[in-house]
Amino acid sequence: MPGPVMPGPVMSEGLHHLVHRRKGFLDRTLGEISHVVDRSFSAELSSANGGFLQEIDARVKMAGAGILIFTAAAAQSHALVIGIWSVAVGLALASRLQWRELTTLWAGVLLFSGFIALPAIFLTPGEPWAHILGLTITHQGWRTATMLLARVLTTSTLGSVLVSTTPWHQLLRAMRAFRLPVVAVVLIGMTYRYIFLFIQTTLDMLEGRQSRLAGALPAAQRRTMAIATVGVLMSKAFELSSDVHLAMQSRGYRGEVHVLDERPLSAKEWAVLLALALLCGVALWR
Amino acid sequence: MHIPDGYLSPSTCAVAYASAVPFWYVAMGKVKRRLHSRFLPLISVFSAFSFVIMMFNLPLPGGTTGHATGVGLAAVVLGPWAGMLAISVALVIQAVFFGDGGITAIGANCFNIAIVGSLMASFVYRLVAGLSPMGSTRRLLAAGLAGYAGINAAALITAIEFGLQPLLFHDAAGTPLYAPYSLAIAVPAMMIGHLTFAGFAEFLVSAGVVSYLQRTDPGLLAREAPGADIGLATGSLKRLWAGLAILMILTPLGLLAVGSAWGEWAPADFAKPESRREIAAVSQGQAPAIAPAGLERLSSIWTAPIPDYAPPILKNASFGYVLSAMTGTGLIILVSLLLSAFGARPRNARPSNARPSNARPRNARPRNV
Repeated sequence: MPGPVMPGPVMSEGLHHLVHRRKGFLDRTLGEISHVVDRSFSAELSSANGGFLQEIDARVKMAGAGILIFTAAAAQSHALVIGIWSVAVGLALASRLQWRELTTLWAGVLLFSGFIALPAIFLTPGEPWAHILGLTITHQGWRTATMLLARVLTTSTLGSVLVSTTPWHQLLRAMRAFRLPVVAVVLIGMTYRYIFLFIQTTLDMLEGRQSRLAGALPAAQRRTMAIATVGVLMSKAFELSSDVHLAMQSRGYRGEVHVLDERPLSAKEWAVLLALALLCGVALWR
Repeated sequence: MHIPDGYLSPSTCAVAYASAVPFWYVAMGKVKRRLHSRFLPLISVFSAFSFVIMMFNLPLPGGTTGHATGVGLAAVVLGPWAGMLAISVALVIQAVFFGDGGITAIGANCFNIAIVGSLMASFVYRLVAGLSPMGSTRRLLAAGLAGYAGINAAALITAIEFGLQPLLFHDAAGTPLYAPYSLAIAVPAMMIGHLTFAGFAEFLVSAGVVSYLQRTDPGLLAREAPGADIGLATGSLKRLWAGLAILMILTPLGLLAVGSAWGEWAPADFAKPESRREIAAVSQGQAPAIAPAGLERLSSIWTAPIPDYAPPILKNASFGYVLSAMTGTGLIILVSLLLSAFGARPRNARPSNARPSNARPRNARPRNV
């Protein structure tokens, strides 16, 4: 089985160079690829930094994040959701995550969810609360829109803090600890590796095509180029799956997957998780 | 369409997980039985491929761009069960590692996009493509429609989930606790975008890539197109023969019907009072006193060898029906075979070294799919 192909500084620089040089379809696609690679790269870097959450077992972090995300999703009061968000921000800062990462995340969330939530302040039926440009804002509309935003902001912050402080292979091991079927965990792990391989392949294909272009292509030809790239990528994917299968078989793989057992959680780690669950349960019940 | 955390209530998320698990279980069993040790490499590589093509910005007519999910393509190439697993894994990675879609909403996203989308796409593909040749335009259209239907079915389910939230989850003052819009707003808001731009992007990617594969690597399409191009698959042919035999045995059921079929009267029927009553009953009370002259004249031009499905050599009407069905079916098959043989005769001789358009390239490697 081929080893992981992780993004590195060289790829990141190349991407930025390409993104600045390209326009249109290539620009946008490379922008998306750049975003994914940068995000993964910065998560790898920050998870390797020393910090509060980086020192904690991945299983405890995953279970803790799960409890807090569930509590935020089930909460019906703004105060509780904002309280959880404050905890998430505190943990992020204690784990030396950069403000820029957090603010970029929040800007994206507010833009996307704000676009969805904004009409709700006018459209939700209820008691009138304020009037703007002839439109009536209702109490119920204001509450539901702000609650939605607070909840999405909190859960996305928690998810980001978890991923940014935990190397991906530890996340996979943590999934296994929560009795996710071993086949599913191995599947996710292999897929994660090949995503970066395909990103590199796509990048090479797009760069190769771009280097042969003398000017801007009409939309129909750009469309044809995009579809042909996807087609070639699919053919390569199937070829690769055959190669990987043969490589796995040559190493003794016969369809059964086995993983090493983890050490059990310590009493202290169990106590922290139980206390968190109890606290969240009480907060929800009140 | 990736639902973030906070838009669906925890109970909706739980129901979505519970709905997705049986499909995952069945899919895992079916695909593992079919692929054995190839299961892990094929599904993981195709999941990675799906993840990457979700990042492609496809130029659409009108100057805008759109993303495709690859759900149609997965269903066309891998089939519904392997396709739903591959897309599910891609969605889980998007949610867990890249924050695209919520962690509590993974079940809902997988159910909507990977499960409903794949099943719908596969159904439409098989329905429209039928047994058409591998390189046909019909198969191309089928792939495009599969992608279009798959993404729109997923969007509709997502919209319904959103629209049910304010109905089911609100506080005492009527404030919606999760997604705030009712079905009347959520369904059109979601579907307008998907019936147009997103659906079109999915159509283009599915049809475009299938067109590309038809020309360059048709072997990839063969797995989900049994019987295409080379005739019916053995299994399908057996089922067809069995169905035909059952239909032939059941033909005497036609004797149970009373009266005569409208418009299929013989000239003699107009002279019989009983038959005239039947004709009048189904013709708004009108029955000509005598048979129309044209009918009288033309009906005698040809006398069928087995009139009324009753061969003169048989006394039993039921046996007569079955024998007529067998004779008719045999004649149809004979004519079809003659026409096929005539149509298959080459008009221009193909050069001996020419490769059929849908054959694998010579230098292509064998594929373990």
